[in-house]
Amino acid sequence: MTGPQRTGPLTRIPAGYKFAFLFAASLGIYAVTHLGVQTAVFVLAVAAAVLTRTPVARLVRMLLGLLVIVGIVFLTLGFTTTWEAAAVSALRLLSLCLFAWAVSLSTTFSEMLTLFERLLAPTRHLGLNPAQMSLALSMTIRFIPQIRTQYLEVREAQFARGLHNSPVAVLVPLLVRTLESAQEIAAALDARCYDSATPPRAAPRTTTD
Amino acid sequence: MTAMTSRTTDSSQTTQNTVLVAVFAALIAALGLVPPITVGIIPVPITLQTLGVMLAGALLGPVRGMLSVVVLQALVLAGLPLLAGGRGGLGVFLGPTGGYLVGWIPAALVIGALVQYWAIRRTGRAARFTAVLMSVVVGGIVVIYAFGIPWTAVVTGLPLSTSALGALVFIPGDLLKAVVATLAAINVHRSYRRLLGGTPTAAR
Repeated sequence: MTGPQRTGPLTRIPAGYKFAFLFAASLGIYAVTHLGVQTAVFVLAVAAAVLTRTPVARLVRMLLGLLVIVGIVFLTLGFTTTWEAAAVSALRLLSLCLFAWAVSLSTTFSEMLTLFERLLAPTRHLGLNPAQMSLALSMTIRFIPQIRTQYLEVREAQFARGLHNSPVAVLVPLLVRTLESAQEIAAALDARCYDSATPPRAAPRTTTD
Repeated sequence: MTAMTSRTTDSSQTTQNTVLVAVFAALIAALGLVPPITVGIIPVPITLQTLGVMLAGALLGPVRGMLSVVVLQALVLAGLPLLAGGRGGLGVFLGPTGGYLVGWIPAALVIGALVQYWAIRRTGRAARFTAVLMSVVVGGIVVIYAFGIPWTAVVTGLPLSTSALGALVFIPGDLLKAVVATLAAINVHRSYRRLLGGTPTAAR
């Protein structure tokens, strides 16, 4: 969904390290106000983005919206304060976003989900249930196309009735259908005895303690 | 934790809640993928994802509403292009408008809490409409902007007033969305009374 494949040397680094680096970088980039250092960091960020071996056209398309905002920020700051301060904050934004995209583009979706699940595992001690969260995540992905189709169906039906500009007339049937299908799916899960509740202190205890 | 006797009803309740959270997360995502609704005479199409956030809060209540936003954002964070315009990944959170996204989480929480414990219990059609609309405006506009405006100011280094001025452009569209969300939520609550656990006997 996000792209054909992940290549380049950055894919071999574990996702956890990349996240830790991004976290440290986002703090560090804001601590430094020197223009030279910011330029060096920016060059590094461009290098990281290039190393993901994403086609340039795709990278530019992703950056376009950001460039507009950064341009506005640069001009506003340049006219109100100094041009050096403006350059520093523009570079800061660009390098941070480039680093973030480099991480996203070099990590597969399943790697990310595995990392989230690992990070969420300790919440079991707080009374939350990581298995339920995984179920919700995968179910969401499955429902998106279905709800989109339902929306288009309802919209077409209301167009045929002449309700062109009435968002409520589209939303209410969509919501009711969505709630109904949620009920059916919950019933189906229960009927198949899908039990994602934590087992009452059985086998998995050994791995955590 | 729970007694064995209540386990079956308990777990089917949990399953239902999980499914509702997932379905509404998918709804918010789907509203970013569909052609935007044009409202009445206003020619500018409005993106619908904040409408989805408002509906999740107003229909599911604070906890489930907030969780469905969290589920959606976890998927976005993991790199799926689920935001309007096919955006996604870590960059959108760290960028200048990231605060508006992070604000969705407390927004759903606030809307849900206000609607469930205050607004939906008003009697009388006009009073209930006003109360729900106010909850949606407080959560869906005030809370989101309270995160988004300072975030933009900090990230870009712009003064707070400039950042707030830039956000003003989106206020009319957001107010419109709040009205639409309110009308839809009240309509759905009328037929699905037990969603917020209000009066289960009246529905049957």
